[in-house]
Amino acid sequence: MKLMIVDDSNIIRSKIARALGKHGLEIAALASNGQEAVRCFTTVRPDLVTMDLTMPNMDGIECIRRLRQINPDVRVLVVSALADKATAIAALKEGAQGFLHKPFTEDDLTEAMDELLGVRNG
Amino acid sequence: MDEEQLRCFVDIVQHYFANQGGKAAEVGSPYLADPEALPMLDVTGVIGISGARQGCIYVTAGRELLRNLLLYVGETDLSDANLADMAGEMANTISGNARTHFGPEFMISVPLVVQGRAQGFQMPKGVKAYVIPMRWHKFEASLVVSLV
Amino acid sequence: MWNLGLGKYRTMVISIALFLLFDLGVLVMNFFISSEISSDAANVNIVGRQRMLTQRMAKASLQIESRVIAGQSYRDLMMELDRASAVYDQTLMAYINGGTVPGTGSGDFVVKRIDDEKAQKMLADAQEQWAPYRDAIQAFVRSDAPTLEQAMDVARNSEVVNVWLLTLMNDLTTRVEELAASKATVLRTVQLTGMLLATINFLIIMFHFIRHLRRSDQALERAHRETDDILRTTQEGLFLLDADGRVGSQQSRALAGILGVQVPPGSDFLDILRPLVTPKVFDTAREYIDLLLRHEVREKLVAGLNPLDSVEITVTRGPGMVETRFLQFRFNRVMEGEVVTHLLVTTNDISRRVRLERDLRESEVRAQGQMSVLLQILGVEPHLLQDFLRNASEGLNLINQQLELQPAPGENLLTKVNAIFRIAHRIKGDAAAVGLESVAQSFHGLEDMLSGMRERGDLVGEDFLPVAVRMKALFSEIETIHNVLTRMAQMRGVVTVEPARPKTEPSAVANPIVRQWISYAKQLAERHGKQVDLVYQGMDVSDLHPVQREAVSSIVNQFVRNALVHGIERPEDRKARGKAESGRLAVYVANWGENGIEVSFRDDGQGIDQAKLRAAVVRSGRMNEEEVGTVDMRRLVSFIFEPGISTRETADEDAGRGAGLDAVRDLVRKLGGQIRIGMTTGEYCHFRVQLPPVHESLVSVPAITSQEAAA
Repeated sequence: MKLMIVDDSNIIRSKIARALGKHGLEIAALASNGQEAVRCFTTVRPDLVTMDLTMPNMDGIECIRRLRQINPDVRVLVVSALADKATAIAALKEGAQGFLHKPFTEDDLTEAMDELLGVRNG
Repeated sequence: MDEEQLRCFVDIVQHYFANQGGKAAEVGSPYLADPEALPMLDVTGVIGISGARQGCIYVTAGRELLRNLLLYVGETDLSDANLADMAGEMANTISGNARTHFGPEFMISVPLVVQGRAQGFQMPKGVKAYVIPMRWHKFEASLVVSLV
Repeated sequence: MWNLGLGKYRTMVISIALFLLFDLGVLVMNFFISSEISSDAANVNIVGRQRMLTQRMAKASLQIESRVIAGQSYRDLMMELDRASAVYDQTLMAYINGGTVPGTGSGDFVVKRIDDEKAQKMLADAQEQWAPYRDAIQAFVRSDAPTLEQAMDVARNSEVVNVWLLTLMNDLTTRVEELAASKATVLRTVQLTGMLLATINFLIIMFHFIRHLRRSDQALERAHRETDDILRTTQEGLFLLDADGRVGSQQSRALAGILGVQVPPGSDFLDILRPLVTPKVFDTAREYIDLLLRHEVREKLVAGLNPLDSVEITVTRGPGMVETRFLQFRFNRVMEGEVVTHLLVTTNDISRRVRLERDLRESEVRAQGQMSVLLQILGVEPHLLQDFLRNASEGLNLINQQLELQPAPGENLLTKVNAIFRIAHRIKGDAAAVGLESVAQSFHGLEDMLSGMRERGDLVGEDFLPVAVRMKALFSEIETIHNVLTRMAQMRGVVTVEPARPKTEPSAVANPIVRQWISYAKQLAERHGKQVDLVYQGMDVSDLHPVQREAVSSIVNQFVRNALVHGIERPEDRKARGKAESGRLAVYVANWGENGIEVSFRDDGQGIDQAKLRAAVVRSGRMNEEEVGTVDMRRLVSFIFEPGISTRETADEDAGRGAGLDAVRDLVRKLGGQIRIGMTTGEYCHFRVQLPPVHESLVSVPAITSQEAAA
């Protein structure tokens, strides 16, 4: 399973990479904004994406829309500190499958990822 | 917060005596006591609390009180086993009522009955417990609430 | 092989198939036997015709004879005779061997050989009778010119045979009828059996299915009843939402109570929600429900976005009465295969929980306020703080004792309130004195509470509940400060806070003055059944100015005496308290040059017993009991330096007259110095004496005499 991490915070990116790398996922790409994410996505073709919502240069919602146009089967977990639930719901309606609230623990993250993968496994 | 809960427990016990013993117990002056100095009479019914707050609540009473309570409800078998049953029943009622008064964050264990001073249960250490002395007719009982 | 996807209906299908099979069998048999019976009926007719033909042939023969005699034409009769005999013969042969005969109506009739022994016997007899008669007829009919003799022969023959044949044909008819009747009996039996089997089958089907139906009805009813019970008793509001957001027909009884409005089945949930929540929450809720119903998201991973997880709503209760409560709506998908068909909505009143959480947050804020307490603590002199804490916890214990003292029935509880008030007031004063403003505030709160109770009068035990609750908070407040101090003391072990101690010079310990202290300590220890070690650190005492040397020697002797008499416990007591059996006295003297000298004396005994000290002050007549109860810590401890105060109730040579420490005070005063005390009950007592540099004008100071020292 190839994973792409999209987040404008360096700390969050490495936290997710560390936790999910340990959890057996291949960290295929790291992106710090939406544009970068779309660029990486076409070359790396990840199966899974963790997506921040508020980022410079294309926000998460727009980014999810683009990624789904490229690969409708991609699984997206929104990871955001957003207090506005409506925006998060809008992101999910763009085709993300789950939402994880920041701040999160390593266990929160791996549990959410397992739940997300459960979609495919049955 | 403590006060509301304490009142709640006192009310439950009062209600129990009023209901089962025909007369509410008189509530004495409540005080604080260290875990090692808590009153323990002949028979004690304990319920454990976990969740948002932890600790235990117990009602302790002398044999005479329980005997008279049994007589009042028309029971003639005054054996120790029956007295223990009565104390267990009391703790059960408190636990049951407490469940309805407090939310799901307040988890309440199945009551345990202890005879004499045998320490079958753990009081929270280093915490002063509330002792609420009660008197029903001329018999003494105490409600002890120790929560962290 | 039976498994055709019929499932529980298999038995029913097999039963019905059997039923149809029986019916079909009966039908086929019926048809078959009925056709037999109808052919038997034709047989009876044809056999009957034989009788008629016999008669007719006999009649024709006799008429021909009379016509021949009369010389009349008999052609027509001849033809009839011929025809009748031909039919008769054909029929008879057909019954013997099988064949076709002209029917009684139009067309031919197929006759089967009669497979019956009796009938065949009759037929054989008839054949025997018939054959000569037939031959005679044939000969008569075929001859071109029949003679009268021939006609008479036929007539005679017919007269004879006719009777026989008639009888035989009668018998045959009867026989054939009998055979037909027996077939009808078989038919009836078959029909009866078929009907019986069908009925049995029907009964089996009925029995089987009624039992099954009843059983499944019962299960259904039980399930229904259980659902009803659950919906009636659950504390949660439960209902289903369909894909259009409409409320299902079933809902728990608690629902209307929780929401404060009725929720009619079939109504639009959003319409019910709209007036309860803010427009923003409403919009988000609508989107969230849509997300769960129509989007491929993981239910678990979006639960955090539920805007109705905790919503504050205002419920109208009766005219003009409103109540604010917190509700929680949880949504769970109901799936049929891969499709979300409904959402199960669970509603709870979480007001209590929310308020508890709010309280918790408030107490966190309070905890932050404790930070400022910490800063206050840092501003207070350590030994004063120690003293205050000890005093305060003692006071709290006294208050608790007051609470624990159960009033006699009818006793006025105001005395209890007053007693508690006095103690609280004293501690408040102490707290304010040492600068612990927040603690003073807390005790002030208790005072306020007590004042309120005093005004109300007519108190019962239960009224003291808030006092107990407040007391617990005060205990923990004092405890917290104590813990902070302990932590700080531990930190001091790592970080040096006090000025570095002067180096101990090797010669210092061997100084005669120090040796005298050590032997005095040992001597006193032996007298009092105690064990002690005196350790000296610091400068060589012989380097001191003679005036200071004298003074230091006396002062330390007084401290040694005080420590051995009051401070150091007996070995067994020390052991019980987890201390070394041998007490330890630590003495050091430092020369700070321009700043004079400092003498430090520390014992690891039990400290000063404040209760005994209070008693001693009262005994000395300096204060009465009430005054001593409200006096603050600093003032109280200062009494140990006053003459005539001793905590020993009986005097002996070493102590009890209250002299000793007062002599130290006088001496230090004369030299212009200062004394400070620090102690922790049960742990240690520490005296620090500072003496200024000696001015040459001050040539001599009277030392404490040995007699005074022994006093």
